[in-house]
Amino acid sequence: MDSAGDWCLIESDPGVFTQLIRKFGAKGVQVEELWTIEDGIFETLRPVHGLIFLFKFLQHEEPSGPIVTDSRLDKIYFAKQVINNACATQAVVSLLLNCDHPDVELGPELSKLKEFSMSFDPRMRGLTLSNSQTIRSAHNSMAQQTLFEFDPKVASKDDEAYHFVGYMPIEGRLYELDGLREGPIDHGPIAPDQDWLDVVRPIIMKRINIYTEGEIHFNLMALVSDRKMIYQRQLQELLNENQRRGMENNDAMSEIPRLRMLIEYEDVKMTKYEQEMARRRHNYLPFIITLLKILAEEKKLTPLLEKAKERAAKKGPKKLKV
Amino acid sequence: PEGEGGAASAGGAGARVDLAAALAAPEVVTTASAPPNAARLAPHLPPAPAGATPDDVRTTLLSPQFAQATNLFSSALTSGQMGPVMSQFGLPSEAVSSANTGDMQAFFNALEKSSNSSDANKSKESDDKKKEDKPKDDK
Repeated sequence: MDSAGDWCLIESDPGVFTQLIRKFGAKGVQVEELWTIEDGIFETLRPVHGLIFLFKFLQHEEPSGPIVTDSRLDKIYFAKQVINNACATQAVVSLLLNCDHPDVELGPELSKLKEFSMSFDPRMRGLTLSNSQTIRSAHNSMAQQTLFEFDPKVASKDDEAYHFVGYMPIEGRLYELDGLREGPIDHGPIAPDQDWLDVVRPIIMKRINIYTEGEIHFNLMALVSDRKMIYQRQLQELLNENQRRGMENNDAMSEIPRLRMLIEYEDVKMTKYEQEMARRRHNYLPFIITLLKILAEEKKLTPLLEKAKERAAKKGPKKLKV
Repeated sequence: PEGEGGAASAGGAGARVDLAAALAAPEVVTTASAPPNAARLAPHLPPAPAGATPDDVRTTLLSPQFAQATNLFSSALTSGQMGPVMSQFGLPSEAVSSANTGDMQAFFNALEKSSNSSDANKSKESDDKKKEDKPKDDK
């Protein structure tokens, strides 16, 4: 794999992913982080269109199911990952392009990508994806701003490889979409009356248990319908119903303010995401230098370093970030 | 220089110093938030989107994004690649040359030594600094 085209590493954060999706031009979707995968966690998030699992990449991990090589590949958008660092975007794009839900609107850019690359094999799809200027620049705009030109290879030898994979239901079966595999991994059928989340839960649980035992960092996110849109829809239904009846019923009386509060909460959350993005993209170097000057003038710089060194010595050699 | 110089002279190798954690320490937050210092730092705070409470010195020092930037700075400094950047910021030549060696301890020492200058010098220096920093902000 090469790193051609300079795809930057992006953070596994629901705000970053949500903004990334909007930059692609897709509407009606957002990403939420899941802290557990216990029963009930999805209740406030439905409909859930897919899950994104991030983990430290293990070299010799075997696929946990058969890999699809048959004609289903014509219908499933699966792209081989051909460049480094693009797996976050790859995972999200794969989920979106396979998503068949009235809430989800791909927008012109992703629709074009899908139309253009569905007749290709997974490798060519990966190349098409990585050559998309819009997708690359959206991806790169999510990154921490580099403060200055500097070769990170010199400094960060201990950089760990993280990898994103997606899980989602496609035409009645559960698939795992991992761009480093040769095809989608088939996790079996989902019964017509079965919730796909009940099928995926034990599979993710098993994976989480392996990683937890090995103290491996992982992270789980859900691709869900735009929450504000859902709440606004529910609110509108209640308001319409009240109007139709010409009176207000008691359930609606308590439900309406609750929905308004949730809508407000979503707005606050989006503002928070924007603020975090503004910070991520801010050049902190002048701030850092000025701060160091101030600390130097007050003779607080060397004592600070001494303390930091003591702390580092106590901890011993830098441990893996787990 | 004074005190536990022995442990410190271990230098850049060995245990890695967590500069981000060091700069988020309560005494740094207090020092940086003192009005005259906060005023010098204010032009370098990140912009806030509409509807958000703008970051101040304290929220900045405690934010994970600042910690990330600081860690990047720290890696760049100890890799010896920061010298040229430091000279752009109008730092004294001794600080620049120690930045070139990648020795954080020496760099900090040089910074402290150079700020021994009189108050008059100090304010002149901070004026210079403003001029130096301005173009960087637009990047």
